Amino acid sequence: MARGSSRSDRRFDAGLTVGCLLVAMGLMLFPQGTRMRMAQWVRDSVLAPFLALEARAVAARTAIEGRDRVLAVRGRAVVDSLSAAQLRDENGQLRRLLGLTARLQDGFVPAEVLPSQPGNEFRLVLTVGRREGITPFLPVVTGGGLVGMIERVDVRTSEAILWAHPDFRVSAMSADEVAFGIVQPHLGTGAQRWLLEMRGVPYRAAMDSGTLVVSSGLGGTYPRGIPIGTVIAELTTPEKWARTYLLRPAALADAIGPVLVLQPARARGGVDGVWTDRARADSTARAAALAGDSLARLAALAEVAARRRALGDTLAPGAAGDSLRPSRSDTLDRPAAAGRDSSRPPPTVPPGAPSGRRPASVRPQP
Amino acid sequence: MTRPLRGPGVVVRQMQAWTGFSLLVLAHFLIRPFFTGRITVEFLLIGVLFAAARVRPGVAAGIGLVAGLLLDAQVPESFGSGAVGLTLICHGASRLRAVFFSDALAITGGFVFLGTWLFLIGRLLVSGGLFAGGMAAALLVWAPLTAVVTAGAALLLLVLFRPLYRPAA
Repeated sequence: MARGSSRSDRRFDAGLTVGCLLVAMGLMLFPQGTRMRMAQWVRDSVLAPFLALEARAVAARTAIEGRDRVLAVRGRAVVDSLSAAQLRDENGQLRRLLGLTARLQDGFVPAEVLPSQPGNEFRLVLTVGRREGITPFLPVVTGGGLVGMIERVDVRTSEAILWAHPDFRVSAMSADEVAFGIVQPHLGTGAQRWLLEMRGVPYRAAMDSGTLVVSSGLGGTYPRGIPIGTVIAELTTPEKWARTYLLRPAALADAIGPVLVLQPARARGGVDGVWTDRARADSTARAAALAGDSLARLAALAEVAARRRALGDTLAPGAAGDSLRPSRSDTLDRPAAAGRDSSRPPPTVPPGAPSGRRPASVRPQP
Repeated sequence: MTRPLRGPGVVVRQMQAWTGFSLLVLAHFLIRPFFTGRITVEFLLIGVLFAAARVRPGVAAGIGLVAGLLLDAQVPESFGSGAVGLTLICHGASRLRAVFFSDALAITGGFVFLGTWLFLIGRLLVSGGLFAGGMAAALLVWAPLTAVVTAGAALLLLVLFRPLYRPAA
C-alpha cells in the first residue's frame, strides 16, 4: 500500500514537473508579440505591487546617490570658495606690495615669511639674513603698514618681532600730527591680544575712531609715516593726564605674507608719501571742511557788518573794527594753514609728546 | 508549501516558512535595486530554492514555474526561459534536498551557488543578451560572482534567521 502510494506520488511529481516544463517551453514558442503581451499582463497584475515597491527602492537609491553628489558638489564649492578668498587676499597683498615697492623704488629687501613654530607666534622668521644686508633693528613692513622689527640676524635668515610682541614699541602720531604717543601691544585676552594701544597721548589731543596712526620717526628705528593702525576707541585708564587709544593694526597678523625689510639708508631717508595716501586724503578732506567753515564764517561776518552799518552809530567805529579784525585775520589765516596741512606738514612735536621715553625696541640713536 | 509533517508545531513551521519566503520576495524588490553593479543578490532565487527544499518535487516544479514567470515578466525578450530553468532547478532541489539541504552550511551554500549559476547560465544562453561585455565573461565571471554573492547571502540568512529558513526535517 505504501509502495503504491509512493509510486503514485512519484508519478504525480513527475507529471507535474513535465507539465510545468511543457508550459514553460510552450511559452517560449509563442511569437514575440504574444510573449510581450503576456509579460506585460504579468507586470500589470501580479507584479504590479512588487514593481511599485521596486520603483520606490530605486527612487530611494537615486536620492541617496543624488545626496552624495550634492554633498560632493557642495564640498567642492566650499573648497573652491575658500581657495578663491585666499587667492583674492593673496592677490591684494601682492598688489599692495608691488605698489609699495614701486613707491619705495629702492632701499628695501623683499623677504618671505617662514611658517612660525608653535609658541613663537609673536616672531617672524624671514628668508633674508646678513648676506642680504639685513642688520638688527631694521623695520619690517608690508603694503598694509608696519609689521615689526628685525631682532636677530643669521647668515641666511633673520628673526623679527611682530607688533604683537610684548617688547614692541614705536613712537607714533596721528596722520594729521595732532596726537603723539607710544604704540605698544594691547596685552588683552583672547582676540584683543591682537590689538595695539597708543599710550601717552596728551589729553588735549583727542582722536576720533578711524583716525590713522603712523610712525612719527622719533627714536630713529622706524622712519616717519609708516601706518601702524587705526583708532578703534579710547581706553579708560587711571592716567587722567593722558589718553590711551585702542588701535586696529594696519598689518593684520594672519594676513602677513611677503614682507619688505627697509634698509638703513631708506629708513634714514624716510618713507613719507609712500603709505600716506590715505592720511593725505584725510588731511585734504579736513582742509576742505575747514575752508568751508571759513567761507561760512566770512559770510556771517559780512552780514553782521552790514547790519551794523545799517544801524548807524549805535556802535563806535573803533569797537566795530576791533570786533571784526581778529576774526577776519583768523579766517584769512586758516586756508593757508589748511593748505600746509594738506601738503606736507612740518615735523613739529607738541610739548606733550613723549619724545623723552625710549621704547624698548627702539634702536639707540648713534 | 511545506511538506506534510505531522506533530506539534507544524502550523508554526509552515507560518515561519511562508514568512521567510515572503521576506525574501520583498527583499528581491526592495533591496536588490540597491545593487547597482553587475553583481547582485538574487533574493528570489534564494527563497525559491529554500521553498523547493521543503516541498515534493512536483510542487517544487510548480513553484519554479511561477517564480520563473515572474522573473521573465521583467525580461520579456527571454520570456519563458526563466520558467524552464527554475522549474528544473526547483525540481532538482526538491529531489536532492536530503543530500544538499542538510545542516551543513557549506553544502547548502554550494547548492545555492550551483542553482543560481545554472539559472543564470540557462537564461543567458536563451536570451543571449542579459550581460553586456561578452558571453564568456558573463558565463565565467559575472554569473559565478553573482552566484557566490547570492550563496553568501543565503548562508547569512540561514545563520541570522535560522527559524525561518532551516531545512525541513
